[in-house]
Amino acid sequence: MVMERLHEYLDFLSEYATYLLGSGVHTSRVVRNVRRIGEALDVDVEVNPSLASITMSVCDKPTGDSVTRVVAVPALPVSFERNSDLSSLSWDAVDRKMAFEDIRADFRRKISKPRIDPIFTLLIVAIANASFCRLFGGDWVAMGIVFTSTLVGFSTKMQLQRNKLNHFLTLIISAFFASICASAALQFDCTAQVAIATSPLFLVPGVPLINGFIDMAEGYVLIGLSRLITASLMIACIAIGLAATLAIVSNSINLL
Amino acid sequence: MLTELLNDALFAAIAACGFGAVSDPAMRVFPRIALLAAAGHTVRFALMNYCGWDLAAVSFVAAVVAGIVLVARLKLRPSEKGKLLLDGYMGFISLWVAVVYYGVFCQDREYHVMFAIFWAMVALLWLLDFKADKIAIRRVKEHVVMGNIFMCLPLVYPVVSLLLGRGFPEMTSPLMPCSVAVFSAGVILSFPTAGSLVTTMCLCQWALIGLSKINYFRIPEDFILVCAILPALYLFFIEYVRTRGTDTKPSPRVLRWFIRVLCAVTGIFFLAVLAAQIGLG
Repeated sequence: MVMERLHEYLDFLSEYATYLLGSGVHTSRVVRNVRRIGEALDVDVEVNPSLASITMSVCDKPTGDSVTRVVAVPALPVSFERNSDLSSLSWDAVDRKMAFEDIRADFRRKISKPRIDPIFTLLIVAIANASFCRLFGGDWVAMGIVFTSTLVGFSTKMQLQRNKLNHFLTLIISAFFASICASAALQFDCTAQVAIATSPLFLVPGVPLINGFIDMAEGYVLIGLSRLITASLMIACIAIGLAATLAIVSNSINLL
Repeated sequence: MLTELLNDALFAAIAACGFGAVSDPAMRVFPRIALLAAAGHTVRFALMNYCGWDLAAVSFVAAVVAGIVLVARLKLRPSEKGKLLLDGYMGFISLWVAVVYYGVFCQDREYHVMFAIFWAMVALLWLLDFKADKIAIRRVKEHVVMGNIFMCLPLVYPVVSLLLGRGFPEMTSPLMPCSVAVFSAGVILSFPTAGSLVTTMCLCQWALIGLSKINYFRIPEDFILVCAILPALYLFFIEYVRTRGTDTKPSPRVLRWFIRVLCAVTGIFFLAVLAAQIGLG
């Protein structure tokens, strides 16, 4: 009976933890949240995280029985709203002494909320990247070109991700598409270099970089290093895409 | 003259049947192969020999006629095969712009390589679309009137050129980049499963590039694309919001207003760039 209950807890807690890790939460926050829910359920929880999977043990406090499982971390889009909701769930579980079934039902309800609309994201990212261009000294025409280039690059990324192409190849192709479109700025009397340089900035992996540094600082060195290496590879892929464009248009840029 | 035309039609039909047989088609399609080849080659022969048109002009006409036939076919008898043919055709004319227009005839222009790559990208997107048949966003409604207008606009390009006092070959033709872009917008609006989100965004990018040509290459006809692309984008996005239902983040109302404001701002920006290009700014 105890083992059956522990297995149920482990099923839920591992799903909860991997969902958080996949959604872009740094490791210590995942561990804290999981332990907090474990406290509400009167079990000890230990987590050994890595980038692709986690090892989790759940131990029943009164009897000392425990179960352990290795669970893969799913690749999910980053969602700060979900991260916040799921963290508040862990607090609710403790503060309101929620029953296990209620915690699980609340988890299902929270993860089924609609994500931000992809077209809204596309348009808002294009505006953001155009603003970046302005911040780096681009003029209005360069901003317009970066806006449309980002529309092309980001929609390419969305479509390739939907077709499940390799993540690194997706970045190379998206960076190339965005920068080759931005190189149209060379034909206008505008700050073309700024437009080309800023066009693939929307691809920079900010969340993995920040989480990598936080993990390293908080003692989760292995997963932190893994995240930083992944982020570095992603940046290298963006550079390859941009370099391909520069190889084509470099003569024109030298003329400017 | 009649003998020459019949002679040309006969040998075109025989040649087409012979080359067609290499690909092992069904026996019932041979008459159609013969008829299509005879009609196509006879028109080409007549235009070249009796109207004084050169090969490039005749190819343009052939491509335009093929476009009209494919669009009419898909409108009258919607089918998966018709959609594949139209996607293939769109890929072909985009590739034509990349290879023939920019790769061969615009070699003197400084940035022809990057534009050739851009149009090769667009061609690839059309051709991938017919293989994967996965569009990025779902649309269900056809914008028939607007789509038809846009698909006819490429035919307006040569008329505007003639009105501006240009003859062949200086005139803009329906197979030049901006006219192909307008036609692509028409196809995307007319057929909900045609094109993808990336293709549509590429058209938006090309509308902005088209602005530079108005003054730089003295092609005021390209203003047609700039005027056409904003309503096309607006309809595309509004149709998308309509199909998303009510459970969206942000709400459909906010999304609709966001798109309206963005299209208005983009329109003002296009006008400002245009004013700067023609020296009003």
